[in-house]
Amino acid sequence: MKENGQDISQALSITPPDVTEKKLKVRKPYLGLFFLGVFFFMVIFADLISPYDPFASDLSKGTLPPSWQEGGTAAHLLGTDFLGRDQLSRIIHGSRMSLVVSVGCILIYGTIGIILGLISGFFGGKTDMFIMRLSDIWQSVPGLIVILLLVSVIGASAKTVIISIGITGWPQFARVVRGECLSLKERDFVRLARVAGCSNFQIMASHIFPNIINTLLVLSTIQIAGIIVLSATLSFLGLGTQPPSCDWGLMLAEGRQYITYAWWLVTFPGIAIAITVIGFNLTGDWLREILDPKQMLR
Amino acid sequence: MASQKDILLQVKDLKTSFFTKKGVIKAVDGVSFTVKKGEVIGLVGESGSGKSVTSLSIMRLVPQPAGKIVSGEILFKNENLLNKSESEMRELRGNKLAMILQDPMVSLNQLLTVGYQIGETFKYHGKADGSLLTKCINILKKVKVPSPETRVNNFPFQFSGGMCQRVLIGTGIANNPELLIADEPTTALDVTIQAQILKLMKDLQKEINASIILITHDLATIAQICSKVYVMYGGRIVEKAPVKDFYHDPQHPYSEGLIKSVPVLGKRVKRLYAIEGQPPNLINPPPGCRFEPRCSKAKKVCSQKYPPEVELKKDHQVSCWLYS
Amino acid sequence: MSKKKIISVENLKKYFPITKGFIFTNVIGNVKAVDNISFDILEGQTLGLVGESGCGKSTTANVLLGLEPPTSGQIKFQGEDIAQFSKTQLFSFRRNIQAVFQDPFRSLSPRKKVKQIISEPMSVHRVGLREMQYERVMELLSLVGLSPEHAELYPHEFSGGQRQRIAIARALSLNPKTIILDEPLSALDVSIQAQILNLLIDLQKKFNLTFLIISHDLAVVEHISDNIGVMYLGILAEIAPSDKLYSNPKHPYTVALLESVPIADPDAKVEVSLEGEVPSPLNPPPGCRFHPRCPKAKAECKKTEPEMKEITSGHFVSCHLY
Repeated sequence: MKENGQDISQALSITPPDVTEKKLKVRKPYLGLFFLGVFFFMVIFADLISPYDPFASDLSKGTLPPSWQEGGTAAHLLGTDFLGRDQLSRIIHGSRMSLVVSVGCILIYGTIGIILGLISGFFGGKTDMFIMRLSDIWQSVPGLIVILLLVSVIGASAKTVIISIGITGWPQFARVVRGECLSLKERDFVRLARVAGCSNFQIMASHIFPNIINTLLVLSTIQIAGIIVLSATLSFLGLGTQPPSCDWGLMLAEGRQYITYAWWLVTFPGIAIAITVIGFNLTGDWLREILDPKQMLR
Repeated sequence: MASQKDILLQVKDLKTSFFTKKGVIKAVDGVSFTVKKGEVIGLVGESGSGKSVTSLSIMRLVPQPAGKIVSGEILFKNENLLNKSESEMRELRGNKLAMILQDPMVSLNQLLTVGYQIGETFKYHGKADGSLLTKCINILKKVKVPSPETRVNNFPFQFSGGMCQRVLIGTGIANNPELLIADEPTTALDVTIQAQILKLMKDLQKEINASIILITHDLATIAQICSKVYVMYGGRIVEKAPVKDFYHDPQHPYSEGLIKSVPVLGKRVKRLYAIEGQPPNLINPPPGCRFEPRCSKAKKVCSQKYPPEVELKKDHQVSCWLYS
Repeated sequence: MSKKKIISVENLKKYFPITKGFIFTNVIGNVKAVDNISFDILEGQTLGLVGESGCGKSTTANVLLGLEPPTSGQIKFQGEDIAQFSKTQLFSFRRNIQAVFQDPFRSLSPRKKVKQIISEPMSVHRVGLREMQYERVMELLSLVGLSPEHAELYPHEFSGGQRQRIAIARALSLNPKTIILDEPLSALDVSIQAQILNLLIDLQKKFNLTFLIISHDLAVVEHISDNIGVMYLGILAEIAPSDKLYSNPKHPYTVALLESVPIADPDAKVEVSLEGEVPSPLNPPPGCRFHPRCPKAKAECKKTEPEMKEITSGHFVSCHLY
């Protein structure tokens, strides 16, 4: 206690989480949560709310404009694509693919990152150096090249996207986890756990890990936004999900060639991506403010 | 009462609160006291008693936006500091009003030389001229840092804790302040170094004839250097006494308990006196005396109304229902 | 009356190597945090270790707790050298030494309920069933002066003094023989310090506990200890029964330390008896480590390191004056 006299909650000596100046000016999370709400609503109720089967094509109704434009029909609110598939239904179903891909990636690289980060931070020394240098090397290889390699080996699919982003993204997680772990392992409660006889694994699992969950939550939320953009990019380049599946990135790619006369084919999937990404980012920022791990751990 | 001329600082019914989601924390709740010229005042209290917030209020450095001085007056040489603009305050701080903080290692910027940081206090107050370096060296000499000519170009990490605290005291007294507030200046230091720093502060105080408000939880420090003691509890001053009266004849049950609960070297007792209970919650303080839940002499009235301040003898006031 | 030695430390050394280089590291020096100290603690007694920051008192505690391996030297627990223990023996031996640390704000896991914190050592050592552990938690809570409903709360809902009580309850949970108290009071308020100090003394009597208390506060140590060891720069300068140490200090450092303790009495003025500061343990002065600050230093002090000598029964000093 004595060493941080600069801290105001210290100067006041009121048990920390009670007085957080930050709490006063936390941004309101409504917009971000609203966007995410829309996103998850689409994911959960995709089958119920989408007006058509997203894969049913009807060439007679090909490239219809949105309903409010001349030539559009009320039956297809956001128009149809060149195969006559309903845009709205495809966007709604596309949300599922985005979620599967992003959560899949987070799970893969989160797991690798957390395990390596904990080991690195906890044991320190040569182990730490080895893992950190490995992550340096990993980060210095352009992700796209790895992805291209994997695509050529296993072929382009959603699975490839998940695996390739998953194995390229872990260093960031590992670094954050390592940093938290470094400061946590010096804490007295960890020393006491050792005195009590806890094994290294028990200490990591029950004393260190619970204290970094907040950070991981914040990091994951913000990372998901990045993954959605990345997977859309891959699909757009033809390296990701393959037709005919519903994927926003893929829809963008398919609509690209018709952009001059069917603007709706690229605009609406683009808006869907943007809204989701903004939603995750805003929520992530908000989570970071309310869950500030520094405040919690004091 | 001393004549108006002798009074350097007068705090009248100061109230400072922190507005948080959990409620309003009345950190300082009606504090009045005076500091005479050349006097060394000890402000004792435990954590949460409001002693640090009182000093921050005097400096007008209460952390924003949660903290706010709600009411009261702080008269420094008969001018109300609460009416001053921020730029006028900046003029005063580090000049007429100076402050030393607890932890010397974090109070100095690790990336700037010690000389630069002392020089800053001169620069900001327009006292920097060609002899800045000599001035800094003189300051280091004053606070007895060995070989000041070379040390002036060193960085704080090259100094030990005690030396850093000397440098901080140096920056504090650089502009010959009239009031120096020292917030736990020796707490972070080792015992032998504490003794050195206390002696240094005593000598300097005589030399520049400044008034000092020494904030501490350590009764022994107060005994060494202060002439008057103000005891704070739960955001209020419960007893004001000359230092000898305070140690030999404390009146408030809290002061009494505090003195009795400190183990004294060489006077081993079977069992220490301990004030039972926990420090008060300042969000919803009881309407009566803050100390009532822990007080062994509490009466009925104690939990209902806050006791008025009673003057027992000259310069010795107590807020306790036992005396009124 | 001779009591059993519960812990004896013989010629304990703990050096921290300073390394240079990136991949191929080589040791360029040692921080001699603890350099050749020996002491015994008798059952049911308290040994206090005092000294300024960097004197090695906390390192000594860490070594005893098994948090750091000693560089050399022996630690005997009830006459048995713990270095000879097998892994399982070591694990069950650890039950006998528990600890309470300085800052109760940092020594309790923030994400665990009080009952989990207190029962953790029992779960780790697989003592009793869950229900029995819960009963034990209740018992411990009342022992340290907390109430049963506190079991369901989180640490941040408590004040500093209450948290330190929780930490003590946890340390007691395995019925240890010895508790190492590393600055148990220095983060607490004055009025709370006395509460905790009284609690510790009561518990010691009740369970015949052995304490090793580490503190920079001489008055606190003197109040609770049977024996006091004074450390300076990794060595034990003097160790003696506490009344002897106070009334008749031998080592010039002890004398200076006692003189510079501020006294809560305005009539007693404290002298600055020690100038200068503690040298770096990386490069301690040759000979007696205290000689550069020692008012009584002789030529001999600069050359040879003094040996530990017993002056009167139980009073050991390492100084050339004796």
